[in-house]
Amino acid sequence: MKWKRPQWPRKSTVIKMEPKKDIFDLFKENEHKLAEQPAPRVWRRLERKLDTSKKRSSPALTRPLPGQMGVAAAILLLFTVVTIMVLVLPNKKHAAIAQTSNMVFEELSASEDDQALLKVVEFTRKHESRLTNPRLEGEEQKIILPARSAKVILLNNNE
Amino acid sequence: MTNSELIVACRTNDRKAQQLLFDRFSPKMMGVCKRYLKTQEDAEDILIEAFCKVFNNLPQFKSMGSFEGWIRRIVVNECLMFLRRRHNFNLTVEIDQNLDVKTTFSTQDELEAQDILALLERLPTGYRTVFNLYVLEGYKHREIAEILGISINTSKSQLILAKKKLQQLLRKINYPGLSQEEAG
Repeated sequence: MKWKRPQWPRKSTVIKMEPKKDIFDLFKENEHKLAEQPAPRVWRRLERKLDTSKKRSSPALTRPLPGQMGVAAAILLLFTVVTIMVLVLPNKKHAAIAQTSNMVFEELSASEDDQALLKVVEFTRKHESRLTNPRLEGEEQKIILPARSAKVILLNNNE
Repeated sequence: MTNSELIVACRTNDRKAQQLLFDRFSPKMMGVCKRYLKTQEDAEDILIEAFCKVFNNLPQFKSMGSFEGWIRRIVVNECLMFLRRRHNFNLTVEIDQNLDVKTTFSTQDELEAQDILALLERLPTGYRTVFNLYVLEGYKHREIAEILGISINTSKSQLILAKKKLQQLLRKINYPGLSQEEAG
């Protein structure tokens, strides 16, 4: 009897292998099953929310302008500012010059008494500056006097 | 009505178009909310917040990518913002990465919606969030770390723990899809 070569794999020995899947893939494939139509109350609540957000939205003046309108508004604003600067400001300058032409200048001269008083003021001003910024080490030849007594000495000398 | 036509109509605040858009995308987005949040009330609240943002930000949508993907990103962001207010994602013990155990299921035994939700509900917030972001949204650990303000290792650890916990839960309920040695 001639040997017959067996067919491989033999039908009787074929084991049905079930493809194994990773737990992650299993969740991925079944995720769509979670889809569910929300209850009608969800849309009603959303509708109310949309209405309130629409009412709360900013009025037309404060609402941001779309791109092109914004650029146009900026150009218009710049043009207005430049026009004001060119037309209005020179007129103001001319008006100021016109006012100065009508002015009367008066020369003021100081009297002798005033001159003496000015000297006192100058002297005390110098002394006060020394008092506020005192020298740490005074010079030996000079006597440091308080400002009031200096005033008296100077007034006596003038008399 | 196509998505593009719907978007144009919604931009003019056409309420009917808005309802049509909501009806078209809300079932999937509700599913997303339910995956992240444990209660139905929270899922509904976040869905409302998210769709409000969708309608308000519709003028900014550039019709370059997927519209559904854009809505989904808004929904996921809303869920994460909600979770961040209530949960500290850093409060998770980092574990050794060798704990990763391969879990396989038979494709014959598919999970039903309530199984998925029941399993996800039993996961702690940190595990569930990382699992959702990594497995179902397709984010990388680096991105998850950035989004949740955690380290990359924490993100990896939480994913491993989530996987381990899911495996334990499935064993406990004698899920038929588990192989014999893993179920034992």
